[in-house]
Order: sequence, then structure tokens, then C-alpha cells
Amino acid sequence: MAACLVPACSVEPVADPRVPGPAARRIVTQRVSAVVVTERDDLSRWMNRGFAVSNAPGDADGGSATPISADGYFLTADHVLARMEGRNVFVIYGRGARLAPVKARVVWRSGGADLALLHIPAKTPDYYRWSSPDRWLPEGSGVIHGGIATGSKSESGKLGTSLAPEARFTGNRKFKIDIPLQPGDSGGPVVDAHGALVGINSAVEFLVPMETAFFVDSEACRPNTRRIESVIQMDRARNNRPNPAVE
Amino acid sequence: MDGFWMEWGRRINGTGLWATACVLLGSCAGFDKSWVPGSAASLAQDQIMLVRKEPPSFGFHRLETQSRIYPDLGLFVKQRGQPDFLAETGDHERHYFILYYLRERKAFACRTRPRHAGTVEFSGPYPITAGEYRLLDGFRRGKPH
Repeated sequence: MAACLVPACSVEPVADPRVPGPAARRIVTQRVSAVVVTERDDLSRWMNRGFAVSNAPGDADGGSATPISADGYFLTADHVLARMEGRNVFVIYGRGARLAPVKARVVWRSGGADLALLHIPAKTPDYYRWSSPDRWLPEGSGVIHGGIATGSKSESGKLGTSLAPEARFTGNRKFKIDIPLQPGDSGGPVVDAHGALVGINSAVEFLVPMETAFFVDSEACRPNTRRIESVIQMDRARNNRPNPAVE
Repeated sequence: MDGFWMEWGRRINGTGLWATACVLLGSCAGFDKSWVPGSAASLAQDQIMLVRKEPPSFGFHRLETQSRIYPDLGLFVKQRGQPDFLAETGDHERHYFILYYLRERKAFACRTRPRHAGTVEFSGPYPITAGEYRLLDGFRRGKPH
């Protein structure tokens, strides 16, 4: 019991003043991934034409994806999958310089947390490691995001919410970042100065007194990382897939 | 630290000034304490107010009051000039102010910081639209559309 309570009662440290630098941005660039939800059964024609807008599936919903294991598991925002009923879900993951769409299976969803776990039958050697669940992520810590719409061009920002160390019963935690997100960024990673995964992009809030929209905050969600890992392990066991970490 | 929202005192004058601002704030009444029905705070909530010194408008008094509570807001206004309009809103966590500068056709957003009593952050400038300019300029001249 005490072990469960101690992390939440520890004193919040001062925020790490470091701004995510080129190394963190490189990690994000290597792992850029997208989700496409479409009636199409095959995206290879679109892919072969360099993802030209003219050849894009007209019915497609899309967002970003975040690889979190070497064997094809991705997190995304649940609302990206809102219209997936009767349609196909693809994850587009970079393999070297080549992006490839692969049909994905939905493993787990949480509407409340706006998180979903996807799996593709492919190796994903470039994936994110979670920032340590045993450490504080204080408000003001430097972060960047890796959403496909603005991740490559947006400036770094900071956490607007402190995240206490994770305890056994810690649930999915929403937190704020002061980086304006745009449609398409949902499901992308929020990454700290060390290139470690903090959470998953979810929503953006504006004030609109008249016509101009004033950015307020963006929202992301950090799941209980150990619980996500156990969901993945159970899925591997169900599908007779070995854990790549113990292969 | 980069970021969309910036602390004005730190941005223009360095940490020394920021430290001074924090000391001054210690003696100020909390913002929330004045947020009662019928108070100036509740009248200003979700409103866009004309800021005119002579004769002083409600928005002018409101900006003066807020500048005393949030010295960095006062510093911002001193540096950039008095805005033509002030919009105000808030929720249980934060209060937001939008400062409209019609001549420059720009606006800045300012927000309070939860757990950092008396401190504010700014973002902007945002370009304001032709429609917003026309509407606000009309109100300023007493000729609302």
C-alpha cells in the first residue's frame, strides 16, 4: 500500500530547463507515423505515387501514430478511429527512407482517455521509449511533439501540467502542452528533451471572442505505461507472438 | 525556454524584474476573491470592453485593476501602449485577457497561471480580421454596425 502511495506524495522537483534539441528532433523524425482510416483495401497505388493529394483516398480520416515497440505496436488518439466501423485502418510507418502503409488491427481503445493501441504485422525497430514512470515530469519541462501535421515545423514548448511518478493504480492522465496542434497531429507523440515519450496528442483548445481564434492549450494523454505494456504482452500471448525484448 | 506562451517580464527585462514582480504580488488580494455576482469581475466575465481613458470607461478601470493584481500585465501595457479593447473570460483554473490594438490590427492574449498566484503569460501578436477591425472600430467611434 505504502509503495503505491509514496510516488504521488513525493515532492515535485523543479522543471528541467532543457529545450529538446536536434537529437530529440532526430528521434521524432525517424519515428514519424500516420494512421489512415478508409474504405480502400489497398493503399499501394497512393503510396507508389508518393502520397500525392490527387490520389489520396477521398473518404480517408487520418491522424498520427506513435510506435511504442519493436514488433508493430502503435498508440494513437481514439478519436482518429471514430469512423472505423466497416473500414480499414492502416498505419504508415517509415522503413528507412521508404514509407509503407500496413493494415492494422485495433488491440485496445479508451474513448475517455482518447487513446487506442494498434498493431501491424511488421518490424518497427525505431520506436519510442517512455520517459521514466518513476520520475516526476514537472510543469514547465521542455517538450516537442511529433504529429504529422505540424510536428516537423512547430517550435518546442513546455508541459502545462505536472505529472507525478506513476503508481500501480495511476490511470490515464490528461496533461497540457503549450504547443498549438492542428488536425492530423492527434495521436502523435509528445517527447521530452531526451527524446523519451511523455504522452499522446489528443486535442487543442482555442478562445474565439469574435473571429480570431486565440490558442489556449493543447491536451495530450499519458497512459499508465506498465498497464499498456501488460495489454501488449497479453496481445502477444493471445497471438503467439514472442516478446521482441526477450527474443 | 521556448514556448507559445511567454512571461512578459522575463522576455523583456530578465529575471531580476520578474523577481521584483513576484515580491510585489504577495500583498495583492487574490483574483478569485473578487469574483462574486454583481462585482466588477462578474460584469467583465465573457465581455469585450472598450478601453478609453477620457472619460474613463469600465474597460479602462478593469484594465487598471487587473494591472495592479498582475504587474506584468501593467508592464506590458506600459511598454506596448493602452489597448483599444479588453476581452475577459475565465474558468475555474485560469483567467484570460485579450488585448486588441486596432491601429496595429493586432491582438495579444494574456492568461494567469494556476498555482503561480499573480503571474501571467502572453502570446501573440495575432493579426485581427477585417471584420473584427470594422466592428470594434465602429464601437470605438460610437457607430456600431
